[in-house]
Amino acid sequence: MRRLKFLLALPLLFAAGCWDQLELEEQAFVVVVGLDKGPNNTVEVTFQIANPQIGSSDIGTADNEPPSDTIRFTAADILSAKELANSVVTRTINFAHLKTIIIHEGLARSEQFPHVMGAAVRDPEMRREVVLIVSREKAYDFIQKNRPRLETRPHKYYELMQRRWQETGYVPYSTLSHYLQSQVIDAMFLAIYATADEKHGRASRSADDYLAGEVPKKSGDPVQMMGAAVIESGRMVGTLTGQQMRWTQVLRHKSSVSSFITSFTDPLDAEAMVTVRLFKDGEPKIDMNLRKDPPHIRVSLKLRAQILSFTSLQPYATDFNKQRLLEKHLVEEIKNELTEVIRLSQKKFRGDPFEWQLIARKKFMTLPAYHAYNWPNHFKRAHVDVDVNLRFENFGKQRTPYIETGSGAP
Amino acid sequence: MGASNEAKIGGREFASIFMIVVGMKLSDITVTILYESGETAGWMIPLISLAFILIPYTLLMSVMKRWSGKGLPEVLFQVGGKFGGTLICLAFFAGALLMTAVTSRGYVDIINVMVYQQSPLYVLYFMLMGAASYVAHRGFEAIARISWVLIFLVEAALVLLVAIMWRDVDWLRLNPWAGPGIKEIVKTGFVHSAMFAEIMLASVFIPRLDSLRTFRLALRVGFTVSGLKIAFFMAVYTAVFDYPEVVHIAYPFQQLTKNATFGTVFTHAESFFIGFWLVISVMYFGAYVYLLAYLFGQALRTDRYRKLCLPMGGLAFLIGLIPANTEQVRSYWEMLIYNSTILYFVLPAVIWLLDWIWRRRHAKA
Repeated sequence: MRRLKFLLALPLLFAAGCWDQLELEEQAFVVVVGLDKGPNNTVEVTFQIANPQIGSSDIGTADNEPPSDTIRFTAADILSAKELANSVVTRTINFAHLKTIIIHEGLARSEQFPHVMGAAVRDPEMRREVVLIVSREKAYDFIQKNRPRLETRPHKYYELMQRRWQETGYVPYSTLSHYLQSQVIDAMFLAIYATADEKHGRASRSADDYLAGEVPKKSGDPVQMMGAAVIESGRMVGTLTGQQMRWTQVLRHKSSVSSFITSFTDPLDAEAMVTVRLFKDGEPKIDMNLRKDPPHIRVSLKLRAQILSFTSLQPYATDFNKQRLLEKHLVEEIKNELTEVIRLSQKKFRGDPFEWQLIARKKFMTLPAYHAYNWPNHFKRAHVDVDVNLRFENFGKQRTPYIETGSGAP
Repeated sequence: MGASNEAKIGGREFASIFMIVVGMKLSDITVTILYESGETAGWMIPLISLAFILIPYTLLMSVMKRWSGKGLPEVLFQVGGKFGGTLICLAFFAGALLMTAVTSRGYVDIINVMVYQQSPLYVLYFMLMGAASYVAHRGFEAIARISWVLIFLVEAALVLLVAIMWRDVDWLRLNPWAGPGIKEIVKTGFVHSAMFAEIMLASVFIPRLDSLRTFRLALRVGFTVSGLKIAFFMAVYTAVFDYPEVVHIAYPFQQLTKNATFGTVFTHAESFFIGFWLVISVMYFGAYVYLLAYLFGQALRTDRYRKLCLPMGGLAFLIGLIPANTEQVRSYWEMLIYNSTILYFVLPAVIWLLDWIWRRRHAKA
């Protein structure tokens, strides 16, 4: 009897492999998806499919195969394009390793965009941690042009680039999850802005005042990621340059960027620039007085600076008077930059990219009271004061400059 | 009766059963339903519900104390007579059966939506309830022992999950702290207090423990830990996903495991957590199926309740198949919780009254 029971139960073990089994050899892993606006409310979906044999010890059997293949389909949404792709691709399309979605600016600005993304997230294979990049040109062209020379495998390229973004702060940390969250709260979402089109190149004295495509460079990979696409209620409304993006990150109460290098004009020499590494010393303190109309917002920022180089070759390290002068000048410059970004978001984008709504929410006891207050409307008119506390930490490994100009004092 | 011939179990095993069974609610549809009315203050609701359910629990315990060492069914048959005892036993049984059916269907929906999309629902359901019935058939002692073995692993896995998600947590998202307003939260907490109904059903097992004192201590530990755990996790979901979004996400716990990564190399951490979660859910329903079989056996006054495990699993399976889709499961669950709350507030009062009448009559005699 016991044995009979056992025998009856045994086939159950094999039932597990009947419906959802995956044959590893028959999977095609998509690493990048590109989205363009198609005709008649459709989307053009580009898949970049990785070739798992490249970069592994199995390379011998795939000598002449490229590291990835790119195909584009026009379909109603991403999921139907995925199904359609199997009319061409020999293996089952799998999104399990999808890490990056590239969106053409044209699509991002259209009404269709929130619908496309909102529909895609229902698929359990589509992870909410996917990184969103808005590209200046068509996503298909972007993916086609992006052939990084030092990274053969596309997934590695995006993985490494993501880590650099978090270091430099030129671009925001933008995931699908944040995008969806920001649609239902009173904050704007910032997405990475990128291009593979270099023809907009221009040189600026300030090291980071560029949008994607404007970075002055020669040769190297064509793709540039710089600045942010500003997205409000799911649709793109404008852009921030790399520099503005950094200051936005500084103003957020919790950001991934803790330090970055930037340059300012020299107070003693109009021709020269001072390059410093700025550290956020703790999170900014944001006080709000919402009883007043317009509301009053006070931001106190604590920064630490390492002076890395100054082309004026002034003896800032040893001359305390000049040091104070430089300090005052930098504080003024930083304040100007911050005020400029705040003014831009209030007047041009008319929304809150600094996630200050979280702090405003603290001032209310209940959600109905908060909704009744209408934060976005008040933010646009808010009076913002910025207070910067800057401390020089060191002056690099060289104390005195080579040329003592001496006469540079004001 | 049958209960006393079985081996006794220790207080810590008993407490760990409830830490797992009640703590599991942090991972199912319970939490999303609480967010709908609790909004940013959703995390407070489990604590309020727990406080409310303590009222009928205290009432019930005041009766149980007078019948020291006896389980709920024995007391019911003493004070309510044959007819009253059977009726109240069946009322408890009906509440527990519907709860098991709807909850288990909720779990199968999660498995179906998040992991095995192509597998037919009834096959997944059949396998879950089959395994649960098998666990139940092994007896209460086995369930208690497995719980004690697993409890530390479960808690460690939960701590690990929060630790690796810590970077995404922003407590400011819990503001405005009172959500829809204090009155609304207390009301929601009250009507959902049946989510801790196990505290009442547990009294069935009093004879399995050494003393009533051990029983009450174990329950106190089990329910305090579970209540805090559910509240903490609900706070974490809100702090990670932010308020309106947390309602849009169908299964926040599973979504959290999907977002989790161990460093940059091991990025799909959900396979670890989901596998773990599946094992625990089999245990969870095992305990429930056992409880159903025991309650029904007691209502019929039979000792051979263990034979009822498989039919009870089957019954829950058949009832659970009735809702057509995942959203209907939610509305059934909501309805059931409302009505169970009434049931679990009324029954202890009825029992207390019967006990009072019984005592008066016997004092005269």
